[in-house]
Amino acid sequence: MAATRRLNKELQDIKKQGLEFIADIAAKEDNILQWKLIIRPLMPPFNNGAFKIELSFPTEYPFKPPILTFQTPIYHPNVDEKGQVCLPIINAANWKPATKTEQVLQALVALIHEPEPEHPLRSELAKEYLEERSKFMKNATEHTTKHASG
Amino acid sequence: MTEDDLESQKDEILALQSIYDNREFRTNNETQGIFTANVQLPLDTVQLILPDQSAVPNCLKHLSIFTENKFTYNVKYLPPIVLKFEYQLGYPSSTYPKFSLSCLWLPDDMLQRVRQQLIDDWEGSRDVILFSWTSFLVNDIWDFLLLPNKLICPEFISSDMISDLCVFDYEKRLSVFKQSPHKCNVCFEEYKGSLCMQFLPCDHVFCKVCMKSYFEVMIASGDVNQLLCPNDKCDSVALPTQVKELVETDLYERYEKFLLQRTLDQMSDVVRCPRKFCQNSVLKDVDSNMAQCNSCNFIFCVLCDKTWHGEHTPCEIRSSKYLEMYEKWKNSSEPEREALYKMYGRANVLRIVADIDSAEWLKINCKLCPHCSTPLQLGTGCNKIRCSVCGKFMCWLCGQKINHNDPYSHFRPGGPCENRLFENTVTGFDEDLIFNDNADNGFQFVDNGDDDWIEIVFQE
Repeated sequence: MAATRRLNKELQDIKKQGLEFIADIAAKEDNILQWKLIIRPLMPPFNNGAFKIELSFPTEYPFKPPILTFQTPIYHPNVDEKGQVCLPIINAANWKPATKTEQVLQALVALIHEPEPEHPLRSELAKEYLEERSKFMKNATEHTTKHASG
Repeated sequence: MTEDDLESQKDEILALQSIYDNREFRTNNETQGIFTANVQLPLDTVQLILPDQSAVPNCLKHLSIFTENKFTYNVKYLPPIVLKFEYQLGYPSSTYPKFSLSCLWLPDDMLQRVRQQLIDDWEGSRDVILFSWTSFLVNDIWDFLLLPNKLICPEFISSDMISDLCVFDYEKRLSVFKQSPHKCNVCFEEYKGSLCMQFLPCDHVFCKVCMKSYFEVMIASGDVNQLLCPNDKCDSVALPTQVKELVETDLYERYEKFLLQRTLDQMSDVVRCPRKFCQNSVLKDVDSNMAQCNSCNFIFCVLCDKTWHGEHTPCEIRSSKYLEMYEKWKNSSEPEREALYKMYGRANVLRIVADIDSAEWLKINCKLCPHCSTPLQLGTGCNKIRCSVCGKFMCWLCGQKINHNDPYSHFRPGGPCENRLFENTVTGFDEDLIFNDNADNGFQFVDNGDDDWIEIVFQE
């Protein structure tokens, strides 16, 4: 199956490359279409946290995009309480089959580092991020220590 | 003729055979040969500058670029200079080989200068000279003749030659492409060009196996507005001929119908003849809702698709008899159905059943795009839906239009559906789950050829 071969290759490449923000990445034992990974952001206020992420690939992959969800809560304007993110690169309307998972993860980390308050999923956090940055940083740091330390 | 000369001739032929492959250098015996010199271009490509496109073959016209009142056609390969030679008694010590030069595109006076240069070359060394000649023809001809990087038609190249140059270049590119390896950015494997397809004008290459699956998935899901190059941010579109080469005929026909229908749908004054056997595209009357099919002559109302009932009579709602028959058909066994078919005609009965089934299914599963009224179905993801036809946004929950520039404002506090962006959505991929919740029967998208181009049919 096309998806399996490509995903195996992508997973190997990502492991070989050793991206500094990825602490641990693996597919589920019996299912290459389900990946689990841990992201360690490099910039405050999330740099002390480890966030569990699940990537779920459709059987039509790479012709249809993967779905990405946070398993660890994160204090971020672009991630909702259920861990769902609206990441343009994996939006069905924008998706391109040559886009690699590594690019998706790069885009995700870029979004974690630089929130995009102009189209938030949690507007109260976006407002705080824009208007009271130091309060946002403090809250996010505390939230990270409480939920995502390790 | 000395023994030494004969020995030198033999050695020279052997050397040339080992240097060049047999497409470049051929010899029929030990005294004659033909060398085909593929001229090395100075900047990888040379531009043909044309006053108009008339000389370019029709199938290659799309490759010429219009700038500054002229057409430019880039060629990577020019037809070769052909050198034919025959050893003479006394070569190489006292004479040069008898030889001729020919080239499709070089003017005669230039060929004459080249000829003289080759003779002078031998005069200078009075030794075996063929390798020096061949490498001169391949590598140095451009500089020697001070040829420009732009070959202007008709000043430098006559217009009746243009077609040959374009075709030669195209065929050579094609054969080089087919022979060389390419990495497919979808499966990450490397394939020979003959197993690949190339998008234009971006030139991105992918393997045919991946592109076949890609097109199939996209066409099957109805997402065929454009079959785009799979590369990131690239908006080259697959040519219909490329799609046709890769997918099965029935899928290709569906794709063509999709494209045509979508174009026609976007023209508000073009409607389809409602007669199932006809389906011709019809221009609507300018002043009323009437249209007359120029294929079957049916005169109908564009709102209800029934026979034209005049400006002042409202459209008739769906006949209650249809529903009655539908119920009867649903609850009958096959022999009883046969009786129904006999009475009303099999095709009629099945059409009404299918119509009602689709209408029911659409009512349960779809909502109409508030911008263009296309029935939309919620897939995976959030409640912000992008219409696959007009590209605008709607909210799945309330069915309202959403601001195109800031779609999420609808779900933010103060917005009509605050904090409900992901309410009731499905985040997995098992699409059957979504459908089976609501529908008892399995279903599939089918194209039955003589009906609407896509119809939803229930299977028992």
